[in-house]
Amino acid sequence: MDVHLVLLPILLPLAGSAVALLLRKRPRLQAGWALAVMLASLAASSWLLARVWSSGGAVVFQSGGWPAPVGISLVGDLLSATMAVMSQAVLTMGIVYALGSRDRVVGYPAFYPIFLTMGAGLTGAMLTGDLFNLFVFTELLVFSGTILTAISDDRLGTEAAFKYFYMSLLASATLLLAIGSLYVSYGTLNMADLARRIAAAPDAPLLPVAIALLIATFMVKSAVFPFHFWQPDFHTASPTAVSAMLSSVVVKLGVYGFLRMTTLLFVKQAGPVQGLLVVLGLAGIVYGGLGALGTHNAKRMLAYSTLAQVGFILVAVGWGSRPALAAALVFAVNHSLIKAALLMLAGAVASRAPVKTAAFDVVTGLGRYMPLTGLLFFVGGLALMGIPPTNGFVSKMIFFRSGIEAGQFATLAVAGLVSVLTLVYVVRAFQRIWWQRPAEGAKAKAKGDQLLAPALLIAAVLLLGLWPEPLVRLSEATAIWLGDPQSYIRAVLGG
Amino acid sequence: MELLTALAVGALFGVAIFQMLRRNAIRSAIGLILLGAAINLFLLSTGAYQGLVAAYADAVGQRSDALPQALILTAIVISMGGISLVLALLLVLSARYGTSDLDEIDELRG
Amino acid sequence: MTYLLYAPMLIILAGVLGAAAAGAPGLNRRLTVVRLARLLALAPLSAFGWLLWAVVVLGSGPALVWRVDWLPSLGLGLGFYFDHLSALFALLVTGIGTLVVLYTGYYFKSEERPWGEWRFLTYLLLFMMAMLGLVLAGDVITLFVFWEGTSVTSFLLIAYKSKDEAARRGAFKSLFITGGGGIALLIGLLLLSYVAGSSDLITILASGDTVRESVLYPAMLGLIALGAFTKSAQTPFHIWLPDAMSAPTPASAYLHSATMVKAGVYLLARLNPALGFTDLWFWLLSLFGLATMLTGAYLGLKQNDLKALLAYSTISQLGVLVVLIGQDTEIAFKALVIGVVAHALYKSALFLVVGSVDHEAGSRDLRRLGGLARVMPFSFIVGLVAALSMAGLPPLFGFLAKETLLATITHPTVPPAVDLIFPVATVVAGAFVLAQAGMLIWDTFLGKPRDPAIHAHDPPWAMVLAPALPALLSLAVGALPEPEGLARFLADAAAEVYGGKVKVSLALWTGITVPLLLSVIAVSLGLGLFLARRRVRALQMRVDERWSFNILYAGLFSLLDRASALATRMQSGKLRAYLTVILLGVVALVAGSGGLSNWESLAVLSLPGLDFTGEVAVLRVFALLVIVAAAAATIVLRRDFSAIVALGASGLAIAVLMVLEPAPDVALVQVVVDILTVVVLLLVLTRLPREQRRRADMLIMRESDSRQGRLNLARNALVATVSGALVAFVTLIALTSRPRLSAVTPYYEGSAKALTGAKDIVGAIIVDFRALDTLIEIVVFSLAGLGVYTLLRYAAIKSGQKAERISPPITSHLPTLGIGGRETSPFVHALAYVSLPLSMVIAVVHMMYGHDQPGDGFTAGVTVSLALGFWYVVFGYHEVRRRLTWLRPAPLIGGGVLLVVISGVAAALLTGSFLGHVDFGGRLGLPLPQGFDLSTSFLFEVAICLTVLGSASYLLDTLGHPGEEVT
Repeated sequence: MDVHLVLLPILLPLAGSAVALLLRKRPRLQAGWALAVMLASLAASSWLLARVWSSGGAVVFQSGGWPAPVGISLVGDLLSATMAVMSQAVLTMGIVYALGSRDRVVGYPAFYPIFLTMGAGLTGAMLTGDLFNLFVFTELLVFSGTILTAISDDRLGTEAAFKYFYMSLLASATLLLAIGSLYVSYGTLNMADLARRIAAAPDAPLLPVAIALLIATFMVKSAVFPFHFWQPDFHTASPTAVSAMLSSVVVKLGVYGFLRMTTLLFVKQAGPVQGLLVVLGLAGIVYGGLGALGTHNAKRMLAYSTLAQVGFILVAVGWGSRPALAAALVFAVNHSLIKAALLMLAGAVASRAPVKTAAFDVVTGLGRYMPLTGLLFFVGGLALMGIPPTNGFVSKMIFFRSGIEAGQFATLAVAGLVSVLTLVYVVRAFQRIWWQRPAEGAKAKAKGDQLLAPALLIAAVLLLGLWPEPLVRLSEATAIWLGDPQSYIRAVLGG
Repeated sequence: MELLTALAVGALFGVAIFQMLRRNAIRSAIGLILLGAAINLFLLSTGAYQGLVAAYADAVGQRSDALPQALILTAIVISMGGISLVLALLLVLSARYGTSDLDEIDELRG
Repeated sequence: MTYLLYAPMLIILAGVLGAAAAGAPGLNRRLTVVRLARLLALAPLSAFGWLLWAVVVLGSGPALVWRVDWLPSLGLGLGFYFDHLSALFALLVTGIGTLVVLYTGYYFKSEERPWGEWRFLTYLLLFMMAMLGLVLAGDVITLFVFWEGTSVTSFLLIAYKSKDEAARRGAFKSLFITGGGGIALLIGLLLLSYVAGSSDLITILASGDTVRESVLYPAMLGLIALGAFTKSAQTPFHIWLPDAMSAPTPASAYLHSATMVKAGVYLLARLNPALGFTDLWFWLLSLFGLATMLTGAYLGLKQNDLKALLAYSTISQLGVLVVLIGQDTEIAFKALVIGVVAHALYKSALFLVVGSVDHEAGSRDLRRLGGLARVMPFSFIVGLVAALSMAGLPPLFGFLAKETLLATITHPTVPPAVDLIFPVATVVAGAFVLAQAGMLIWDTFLGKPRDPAIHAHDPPWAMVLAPALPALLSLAVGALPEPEGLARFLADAAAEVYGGKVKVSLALWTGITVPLLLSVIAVSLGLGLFLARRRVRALQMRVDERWSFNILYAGLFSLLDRASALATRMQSGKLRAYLTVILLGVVALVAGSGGLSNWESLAVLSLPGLDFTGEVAVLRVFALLVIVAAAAATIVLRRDFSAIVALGASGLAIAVLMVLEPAPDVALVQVVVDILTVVVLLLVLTRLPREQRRRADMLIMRESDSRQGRLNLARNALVATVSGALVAFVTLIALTSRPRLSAVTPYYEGSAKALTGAKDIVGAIIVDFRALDTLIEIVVFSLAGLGVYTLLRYAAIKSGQKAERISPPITSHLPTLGIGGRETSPFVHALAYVSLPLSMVIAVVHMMYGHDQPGDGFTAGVTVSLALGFWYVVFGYHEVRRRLTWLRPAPLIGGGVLLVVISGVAAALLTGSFLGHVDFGGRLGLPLPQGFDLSTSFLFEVAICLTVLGSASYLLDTLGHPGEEVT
């Protein structure tokens, strides 16, 4: 019975969204319900993580009681549980933000139900142990994100959603091709079973194709340069409560996928994949930094910066050593909190701009009307730059450390050099919004989105900066666990 | 036969891609639909063996592989949903941008 | 005794909180900035006292150490370390800090309410805490943390007058340079602790030999030096310091002369035992130091702004200190400690005096000032004393410093090759600095006033006292008979750097020595420069302004901006371009993976399958041809309408192929989906505004008219071909490697009937073996419907307009008739009346027996929806809404999903597993018709049907709405 612990974080938001849909005519009740559901789900996933961490194994749920690989296995191991907790914590903050948001979109009866399905999709994709099931969950995620963005009341949202949906469908196609190729080669869809069979017979003709296609899929999912085109649009044009999720936790799905590829499915073939990841990561760091520097909108700048930050994570994943994997996880979690907070703050500024936008030439100088937002943004900015006492510093330090230990001095040098860009665009944006004089007669609206959610996130940013030990220890444990795929396989297939 | 089927699937996929890259939004949507179809045909060909009879418990003789068919069923439904969503998006775009030419929907730049 | 260590920082922290508290309206009203400053000055003062006591406790014993775990899993700790070197700097930080805080109050004195200067004091004390932590750190990571803290607080202080452009620029520049250096420093320190095996200072200082022998030594040295040089404004990184002068003068006096800029010096001195004593170290520090020393000295003389002048002389002095560290000789470190103290004393004094001048006379411009001695005599005296010290004249501390410095560089251990460079450079620099000191005093206080507009008056006592104390101190140290205690203290500090005993004497007169002679030369040269300053400065001014290191800075940024413009241009907004890139990327990935090189796996391709024996094969070929041909037709057909029809044909052909496979379930679904797709497509097509459709058709026809158009088509065709080839290849391998093993299908075939009571294995997989997939799938499908509805009902209306609630708007008063408002015949009506119930019967049958025959809940749902669509056509929107009141999408969807969840949970309770298979009918022994069992599978089918119906009716509700103009 207790194996259902890994099901709850998916089922609660799913069923909760159905109920929320029935509550569509009672907006306040519906919103409250959504928050309650998300909190319950967060509690469940945290419980799962605690269980997994203490037991040092994995909680596996064979859906319908059908033995793996016949049925669908949901697997809560250290990696997926950590990812799930991270995602749901941020998602909860997203709902909190929506509750205090003046955006018209959050008033639509479909908003909270779809927000919940987005959560279910993301969590499910991370917790499932079955490739086709992964596909289904990612579709749920894609549909939810698309709708939530498309309904935003300026047309840019619709445009962004349209483009994103197209590219996502392409990614779905590649994913299905990969799944098919793997079924052709190994006759199973269960990831543990696949890992075992691939290790046993690594010379299947379609294996390289499948690997390439999976890489392509996750590159689109995590918006890795040069498959990133949808991301700056999508993360800018969607309602703040949503874009804060997309640019923080949703992009981590691809990272998760890469981790599973290199540490579980294709351990023997991981070498070239990791090499590619390092290159792609560096490209992303450079491109994202330059884009953030060159763009004209605060939210868009943060979206570009996500490209760069994900780049750092990919580089660490590519290094592949145990400390590097731990660094990647720490980086991923910290960045989720930082980026969600910053996007919410940028959105809060936009919500008080004369016309609802975060475009620099509109929000320039409006900061003087919102000092608290400025303080929070400043701390968040420090975190993004990796300056103590924020969690961003911990990420950066551990990243460099692992690079040194892995002896990857060349990549380390490039990454270090380019990370100066972060400083440039963050400070420029801050000075522009909070220190420059506003344009003639430009005044901020009296009321805007509430700051509770970003304030809580910033508090977390500081807390994890001052006391990073738990997160780091968790990541170290996870990295060790990832180093031993056999135990994952045993946990799923038994024996 | 195999060669022919493979070529057909490939051709279908190619047509789908070509259509997706059209400027005319409706054609592009058609491309998406064909894309789904091509993928489904591919999935069908991933069946472990060429069946002679349908996959029924009481059937005698070589059944066709049931799993890919189930996957296709799921995929079909999802792509159907995707299509309707895309079309709705197109309607809203044509209302908000006054065009159904994909190249004219390019406000998100820089 | 560790409390000796962290207590001072806690005291300062209390000060920070106090300052911040003054921002609270209540306190703010009661306090004034002067009172607050007086109050806050107690914090650094008591810290200073505390530290003095700590020094006494320390005696000349070993360092006090305090360490707590911070990141045990990485072996990182928060470490503090108190020896004479840190004590020296800590005393400067708190001592001068006290005066600056006090001074600040009067500097900002004003009567307006509420006042905002509490922010400045907060930043200032924050900086003080960071600086204190930096010099007391006993772990390189701890040190780095506080290091960055000083950079950030300095940023805030420089930009304190954030409204003015120069302040913002200066702040950004300083943060960019010091922050960039910070990254280098971090990596360097990590390398260092990696080699030394720990980030703990004690370990590092002890493992000097290991460090110097490591292959990483040059790298780490370079990176750490980069950090130190950027912070301590060494050429060419010094360019941020002059711009930082846009900070309020107290901040300049404190951060940018006395304390922060010494952080780099401190770091190098601190790590000298570990990193020093190598040629690389010597050359690196000496060259940068000399360059800085000369640059600062030279540029200082041409300044008109008093603060700028002081800034450059500071730079020069910092260069000197760096050179000294590079020497690695006993006497050099003696000079170092004396120099640090002397410079801190006189430079802060001068800055504060200049601040008073600026404050009282309202200008810092040498060209406007003059003759102020009469109105501000005390400031003049203080300034004079400090300036003499700066000039290095007896009987002042500065003199001592210079003496020792000169002594250093005539020291035999200096390599003969450079024996000359050092003294010459030092003498020249000394001369320039002396001239500057003279200029500073003479042109400000003496002579006659140049600008009648200036009416200065003597500053309040505190603004005289604050600079007076350090000035007098620097006089006292020199003039009074040799102070033993201080000498010993400095000696101990120097010893920490040197790693061995150092003797420090503070006697002024050491007989006629080479240093003294050099000093005399320097002084006379300096006097000459001072007298000839007008002409020299005129010469300097001739040199083009652009010839400065700022070119590099500006160049870097113009480069960055150009690159970033390029990067953002890649985001062209053209979806087709994006798709092309991704597709080509995918192909490249696959090609690169070597997956395509598996031709040998196609050896089986001796084309055995090319025999078309049997009608099945023939039909297959036929179906395939239709599929491809119809698909191709959608390209060439001119009108969208006909293209859609062709699409439908292709879909039906696919259904045929599925039948031949044989895969009846898929075929069935394929048919209904195909129909539904075509219907939806047509509905959407009719909703596109007429002229848009015309333009769209134009697009198709004109596509190949222009050359560009043909090129695009060719490119797309190429992309399509390669991706198609890829898929063909994969499919071919899949087909030719049959028959294969499947790890799962045999199980399904074996146990479908037994375990799920289903003959239809595919159906069993859908609703039992892989039920989770299906659950998510129906949610996705419902989402699509909900999404379409929300989009067209809510998003599509212009913003500002109020969002509709659930019930659709009556946008037109058409009679509730069929589409286009045309009257439909009674016969059609009758058909409609029959079709709906009929479809429902079919649906029920599908759901009940779907697990034995083709067909399932999805088919059922779509069938009913199609009948409904027929109703919409026949009766029109409003009529349908009026008649079918039960048709409410949201409850259908919500109910459907919840039904699955509930039955799943029930199964969990009964079988111990969510979505497990339970035959409720069997368990309860209900009398049910043959071949039908009331099981979770059945409930699942029902749920699928409900959700599909709900979703589809969302579609009809929006797309089937009369005259629904999406605006």
